[in-house]
Amino acid sequence: MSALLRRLPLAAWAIVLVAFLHGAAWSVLTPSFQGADEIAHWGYVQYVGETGKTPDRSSRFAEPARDALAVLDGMPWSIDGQPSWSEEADRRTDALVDRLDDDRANRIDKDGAAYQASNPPLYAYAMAVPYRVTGWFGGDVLDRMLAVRLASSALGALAVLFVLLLLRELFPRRRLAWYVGGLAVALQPVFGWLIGSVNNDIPVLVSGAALLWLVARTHRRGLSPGIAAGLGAAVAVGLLSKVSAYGLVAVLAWSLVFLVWRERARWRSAVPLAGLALAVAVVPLLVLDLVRDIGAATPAPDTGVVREGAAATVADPAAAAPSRSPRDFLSYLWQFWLPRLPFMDDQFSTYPTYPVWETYVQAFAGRFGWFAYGFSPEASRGMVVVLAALIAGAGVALWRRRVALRARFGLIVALVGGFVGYAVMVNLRGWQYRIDTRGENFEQVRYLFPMIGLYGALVGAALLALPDRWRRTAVVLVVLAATLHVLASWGVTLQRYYM
Amino acid sequence: MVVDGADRPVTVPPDPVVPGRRPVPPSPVTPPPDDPRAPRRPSRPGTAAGWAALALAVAAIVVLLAIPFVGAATGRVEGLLSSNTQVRVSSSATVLEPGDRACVRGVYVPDGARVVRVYPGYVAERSPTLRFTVRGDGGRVVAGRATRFATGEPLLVDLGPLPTSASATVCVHNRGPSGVSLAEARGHFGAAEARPPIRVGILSGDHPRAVALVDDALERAGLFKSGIVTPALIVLLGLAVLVGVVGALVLVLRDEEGPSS
Repeated sequence: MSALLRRLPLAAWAIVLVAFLHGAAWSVLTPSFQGADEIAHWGYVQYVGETGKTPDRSSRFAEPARDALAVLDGMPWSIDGQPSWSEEADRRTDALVDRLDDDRANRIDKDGAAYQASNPPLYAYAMAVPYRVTGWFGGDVLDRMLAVRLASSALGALAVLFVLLLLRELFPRRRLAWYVGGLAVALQPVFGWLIGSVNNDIPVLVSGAALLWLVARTHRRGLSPGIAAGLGAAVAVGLLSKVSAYGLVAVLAWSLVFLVWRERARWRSAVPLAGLALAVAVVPLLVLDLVRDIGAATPAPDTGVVREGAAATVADPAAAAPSRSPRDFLSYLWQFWLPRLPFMDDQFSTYPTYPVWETYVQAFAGRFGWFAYGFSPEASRGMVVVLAALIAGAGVALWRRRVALRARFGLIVALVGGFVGYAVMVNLRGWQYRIDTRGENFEQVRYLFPMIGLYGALVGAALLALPDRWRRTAVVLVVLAATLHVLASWGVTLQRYYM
Repeated sequence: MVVDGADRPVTVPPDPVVPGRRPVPPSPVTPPPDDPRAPRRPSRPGTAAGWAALALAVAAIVVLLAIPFVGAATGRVEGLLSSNTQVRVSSSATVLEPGDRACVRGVYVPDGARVVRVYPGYVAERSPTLRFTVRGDGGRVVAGRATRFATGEPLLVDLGPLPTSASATVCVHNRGPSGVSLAEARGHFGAAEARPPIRVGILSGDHPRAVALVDDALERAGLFKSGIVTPALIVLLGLAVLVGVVGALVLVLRDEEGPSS
């Protein structure tokens, strides 16, 4: 691995640095606690950072520690905040936080993690390091939060490194393709916003990107004990950070089928290696589950979040619980992605338009905060054009190379099928969540981000559809457009919170 | 044998024995790089005219892409000075029957404030008369009324110069004849709140251009965060991203196409 990293060109490291800076910029721009579910994620990190133990209760309501609560109460732009951008209120809050920080008891509340407490603790333990180090230097809750956000940005940059490694496997002789794919990921605004917050989705991004890279590497170089353990470890990191990362197991299992098939001539060694990969992936979580009741009775969040715009949905407490039959899930799945057929019950009646458009496409164009603001639907339509152009370009590139790509057909099916499987698993979780909460929506675009390496691959493949002489120009234009997208996202954020 | 994306099958060489070294392809006739006979890397598009055309194309696209930015930056915004929330759609509302009054305490009213904003939900065919009062810290009261307004539209009432206060009290009194629902500022811990306050905003009454508010916005962005987060740091990190992108792009374009490892 170290030799592999040493061979990475400087340009690749520059892209990783851009990803970190992108996340860091978001971490100072986004108001405290305005990342998605950041109150509860912070409560988890803070409890682990202070006590070294995991919170043992899942509560529907977040009850932050007193110092965090002081910030929440003092902030003007939180959903429940007191008014104003008053500097006096800021000073008052700072003074209060300083005073509270003197007593450790004010930094501990075992209900601070609320509905996140049922998640495994790997991310919280990792983030407890910057949390504690900042405390040693006299940092208060706001300093610690910034440190954790920056550490999360570094994790996000690590995910981009794995994306670049994936793209290198996919385009071994086309550096521009993997560079442009890496830059597209590093500059994706929702990705940057997410990694600049406190959120246990971030290690799952790393996990997903590493998994895809190892799958591609294995297809080129074969399955070995080291790679099998690596595949499993990549998934284990995600599973030990977030329960709903179990979609990664589906990706791994699907990929292993193709890897074993590819090495069917020596199946006696390939099958045990596949078993090793699966064991490394899931055994740590199973062991942890014996110690701690992971994922049990995850309560629905009740954050009082009011979602602005089209995706706004509020559970109807009087509504009957949806059925748990497989047929209903298939109907749910169909309606999420495609127009509802006449014989289907409407499962998305609260959506003004199509769920996939609002939840994934519009949000990929840019929805931030508690997914409460972003670009207008009109502006978001540009993303449809972009994605359509990328898919068409990638399709053309693949078609032109169809003869040469026959030997890599298994890898393409493994990756595309892995994405489909992962997306279906997110929908499955969404369907379960909807049943548990009697109608609330679960799916968000960030849950697909563990597969964001494939977005980079799409951009890279689309570049190969162009004649060679135009590729550098295209790279400049793609990076220019991505940068303007970032600037526009910062603009709407400034307007949302500070104007 | 595997196949890469270059339209031809290739044999993937094993990892090099010496870490950090690439296998060097045999090239007995290649002169050293400092030799004047050494081949130059072809520049693309290759000619001055080609570069000019490329520059023009990039410039045109930059201008096209920049139009919405310029429009957004020079567009006018509401001039919001203070609010107990900025979320504009409510899932809960307080119904004010004729004679009812709802008050919000602790409202920050900075200099230059004139307008109070609330969000009526449902309004009967004949809208009620709402009386607004703003009581400042010093006891000074400013009042005004709204008589005709529509469902679903933010209601803005210009009360004239409001008393500058760190913690004013804003009240809405329904004078009838019909009831009205007003959006609430329900909190994260809404279930624990006996009765959430209604949403109010305090506005300047003018509509400044967004670009004119960037300074203020950056100042505000530094509040309620770590002490090291200042407007200068925010700008610096933003610039660092842009510089990083340019640097990465230069490195990317300089990098020769070829095997990546």
